[in-house]
Amino acid sequence: MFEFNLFHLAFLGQVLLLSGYFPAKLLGQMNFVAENYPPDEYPKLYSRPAQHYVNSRRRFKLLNAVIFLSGLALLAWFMASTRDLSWDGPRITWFYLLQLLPVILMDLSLLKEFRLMRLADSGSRRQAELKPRRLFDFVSPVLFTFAVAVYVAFCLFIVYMNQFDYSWFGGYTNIYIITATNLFLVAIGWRQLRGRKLDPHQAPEDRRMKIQNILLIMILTSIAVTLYAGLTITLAALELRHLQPVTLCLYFQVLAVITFQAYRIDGRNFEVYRKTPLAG
Amino acid sequence: MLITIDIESPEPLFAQLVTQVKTAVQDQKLKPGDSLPSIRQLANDLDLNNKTVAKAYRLLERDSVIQTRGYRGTFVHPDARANSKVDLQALALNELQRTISSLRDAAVTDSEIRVAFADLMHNRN
Repeated sequence: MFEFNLFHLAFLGQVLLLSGYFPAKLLGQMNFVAENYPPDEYPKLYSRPAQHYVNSRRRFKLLNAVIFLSGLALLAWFMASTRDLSWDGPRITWFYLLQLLPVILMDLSLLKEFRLMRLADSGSRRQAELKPRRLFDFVSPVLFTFAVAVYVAFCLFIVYMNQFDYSWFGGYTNIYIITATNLFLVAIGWRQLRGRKLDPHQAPEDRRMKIQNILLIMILTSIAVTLYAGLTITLAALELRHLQPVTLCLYFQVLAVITFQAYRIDGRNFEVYRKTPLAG
Repeated sequence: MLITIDIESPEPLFAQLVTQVKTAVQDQKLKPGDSLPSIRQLANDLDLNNKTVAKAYRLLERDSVIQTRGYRGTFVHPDARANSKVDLQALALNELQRTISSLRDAAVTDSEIRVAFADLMHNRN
């Protein structure tokens, strides 16, 4: 019974955090930008009619509200039904993917926004920093080394576990999956470090801050993913599979807290979007 | 240090890059041993073709304003300040001006000079 209560609490946390708190924070930021940086004063920030952004915010709010209510309904079903807890993992994962949907749609819309900004950019002057961007200019070597150490420790753990004859154990496939995930995170980080600037008006200091933020998120995500994979295998080996849904809910919340940092706008220089920029 | 290019300027883009790097060296905004961004990074940041930046870097390296140290990257040359004062374009213009004047003095027509110049450049390539 204790495990059930713990799981219900963890799942409620996932619903509240990912479909309540963070969307509310994001909406707050969107409203703050709309109120403080209006299209008539900051035209470079808006490449589409003002009504488009009002509708986007409304859609984002509605979608999150629907997902929030679905989460509560799912929680009610979890509480009402009698079942084996160890089978709840896929349900939570699918719901987590559903919770990510509004943010994914928002990101896609943002990419389109940047493309339109680049097309509309009539300025003939372009600026760049005459300084190389290196990984350790943005990330602490200690943190990076720790992430690598966690990955190596995970690989050694899998090699160790492979000696035993567990029917559920995927063997070296675990290493392949974690390696592929880490390579994906490295690719995102590399793209930030060396890739093209998406926002044509972004101030150099904002870009540095953004790169630092994204690289930090990638490293923390890598650590979280690898540790979680290790934890899942450990729980299974110790016959504690019924605790996996709880850890999965907590893991998704940790990931959400980490990735939310990418969307923070505090300290950003909005003056570059003015009709006649004052700075940048 | 920021570098600015104007894509509508009549001055070629690679020349703008060369001039600005040399000016930065002369103003000591860039000091010997300072590292420079990779060709790809600078091209991406300025939204230019890699070849444009590569050409600018090649010219700066030829003039010993910068030096490439293999995989470690590109750095400002130890003698960059002195070397960035040498204007090879002005030197070429002066030399050509002198040669053209002496040819004209010898009654060679402009058309003949052009053909001879084109032949020489063609053979050289």
